[in-house]
Amino acid sequence: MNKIAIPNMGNYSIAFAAIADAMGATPWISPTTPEIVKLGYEVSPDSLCLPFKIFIGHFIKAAEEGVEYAVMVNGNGPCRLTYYRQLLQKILDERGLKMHIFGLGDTGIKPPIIKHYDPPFFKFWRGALWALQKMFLIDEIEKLAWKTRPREIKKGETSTVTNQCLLELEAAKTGIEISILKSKIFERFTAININTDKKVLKVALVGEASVLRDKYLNHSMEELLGGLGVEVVNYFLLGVELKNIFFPHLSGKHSKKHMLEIAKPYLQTKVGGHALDSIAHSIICGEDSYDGVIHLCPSGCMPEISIRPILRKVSSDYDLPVLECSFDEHTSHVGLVTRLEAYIDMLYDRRKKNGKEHNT
Amino acid sequence: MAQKMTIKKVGIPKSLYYFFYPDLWKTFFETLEIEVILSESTSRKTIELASSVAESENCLPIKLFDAHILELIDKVDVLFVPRIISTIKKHCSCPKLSVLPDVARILAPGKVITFEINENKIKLISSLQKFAQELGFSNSIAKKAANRAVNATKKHTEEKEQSKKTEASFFIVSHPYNLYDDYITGPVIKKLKKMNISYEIIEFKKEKRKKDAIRWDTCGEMNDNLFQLDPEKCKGVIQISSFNCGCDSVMLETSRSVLKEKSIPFIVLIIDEHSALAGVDTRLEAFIDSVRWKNEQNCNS
Repeated sequence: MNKIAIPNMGNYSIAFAAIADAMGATPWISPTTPEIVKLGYEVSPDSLCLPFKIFIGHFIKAAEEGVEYAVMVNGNGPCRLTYYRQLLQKILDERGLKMHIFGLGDTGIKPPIIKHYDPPFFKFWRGALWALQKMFLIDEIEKLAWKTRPREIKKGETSTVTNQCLLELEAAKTGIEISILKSKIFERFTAININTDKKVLKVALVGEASVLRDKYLNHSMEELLGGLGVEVVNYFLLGVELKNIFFPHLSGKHSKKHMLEIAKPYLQTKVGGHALDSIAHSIICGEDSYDGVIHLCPSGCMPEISIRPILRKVSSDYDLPVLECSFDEHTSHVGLVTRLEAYIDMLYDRRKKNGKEHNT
Repeated sequence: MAQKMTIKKVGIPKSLYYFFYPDLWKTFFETLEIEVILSESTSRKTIELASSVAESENCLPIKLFDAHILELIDKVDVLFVPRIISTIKKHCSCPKLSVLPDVARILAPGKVITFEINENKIKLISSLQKFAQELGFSNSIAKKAANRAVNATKKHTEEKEQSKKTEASFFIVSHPYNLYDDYITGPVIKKLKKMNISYEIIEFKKEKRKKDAIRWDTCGEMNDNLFQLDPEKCKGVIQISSFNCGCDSVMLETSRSVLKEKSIPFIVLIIDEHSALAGVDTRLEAFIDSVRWKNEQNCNS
């Protein structure tokens, strides 16, 4: 048994599965389900954040199915994530589940997970390259979907095409197959009938990574907003994130360097987690005259909650409506939809009032 | 130099960092001949103001900070809000403390003076000195103020150590900003006194410790103290935690397992702006009763 459990990260799970493949392990990835959420919150301390409860849910489910290894990100900052691996391991041990969790990040050139699987050099790097290729393609598919969904004439067509593309991407095994798929994707999305005259709102999603990416946790917010006629931009892009981690000195609109610079009038420290990114992205949205920003975070998230007063200041300075959404295991779908609808109505009204036409 | 002329009154909110470093800020600014105005101690009024202005998902101490700042704004020239990154070397503080000046700047635009406390990079005494120089004071005055300020805290801690009672049966742990705020810990201590129970309150020494698993400064110290408890002498541990405290949510599990191994009874009192006095009383009474029964049973068997 060489299975390894990987927590759900939305569509990026496909890329993670590919990299596990390259290591010679069989990935165990499951979409987040009510069962997993239940497994999670039953064993976790009450006031811990939602990602923790989901992680442990996934791991317990995997362990019950006989998976012996798991992998997760190792934090190294003031965020609670720093302790999550130890705490998760402890909970698993106490329940008598035999599972070892590997941590990623800050463990040297050859992290324990690589040491354990010890994949052949060539095979691993080739696989890793393909995984990267997949990751960038996922970004591309999503960007096309965000643009097309609010303008589609037949409701649900974009989602069908997106899912089809992602399924094929998951099945693609070699670099050539991925490239072939890449050449087809643009055509498939342009084949969708769209209403080109429709004036759509442009709203950005910023905040904490796992809530932004796990479609179960954010109640498929991208699809919900798309259905309401909103072009969404999800600001957690793994490609950008990796670039910021491995090449922190690069410059560019979304580089760490630039973000620190533009956030400086509001926030002069990195805080931890993605707090600085949330502020910087909101400022970028304000400059690019977006219609609004939705800030998503698990309820009680230390870094994201602490910057909320600052986010409000950015909102008033840039005349940019910000909707704050906290998520936990009790978040009701209907409640969220009502809030989103009210928010979007408000944005339409604002646009009418200001006579502001979107430049795209 | 321009700054030196304008600052006559500096306001320090009586929350968070005021309790982290007792006597330090007052001595520092008074040596620089700046009048220090403290906000009033937390009261029901502060709590009501806090719950109406502050971010609802924050913990109580951070909410109170906002209220203390608002109370001071009109009374002072500038507000002093340091950026706390780390108070002990190789450790870090709660991320909520590192954004304090940025948040305060929104409440009081143009009125905040700040400097960074980051023991990982620079010692507190040197950063204090640098801060005084930035305010426009000469090198020698800055040095004097920094030295005096740090000594004042040391003296405060030493005095407390000497006045410590030797025989104590219950141990109270919490973050300094909960512990020394009378409104938060007061009811617990009052109740213990009323029941004639001896207690000891945790002391924060801010000394360099061995590199361990816990990187949060105060949490690490609390944990160390719990490790050193003697099950023979200590009858029970009372932890006061604020609702939605991020650090505590992780650390409580660790504390619980440490104390379970030592078989010391443990109670967590969670407080927020709605905390009822009667609730605290009842829980404490029940806890102390159960500890007493446990001891009687042990004696009998």
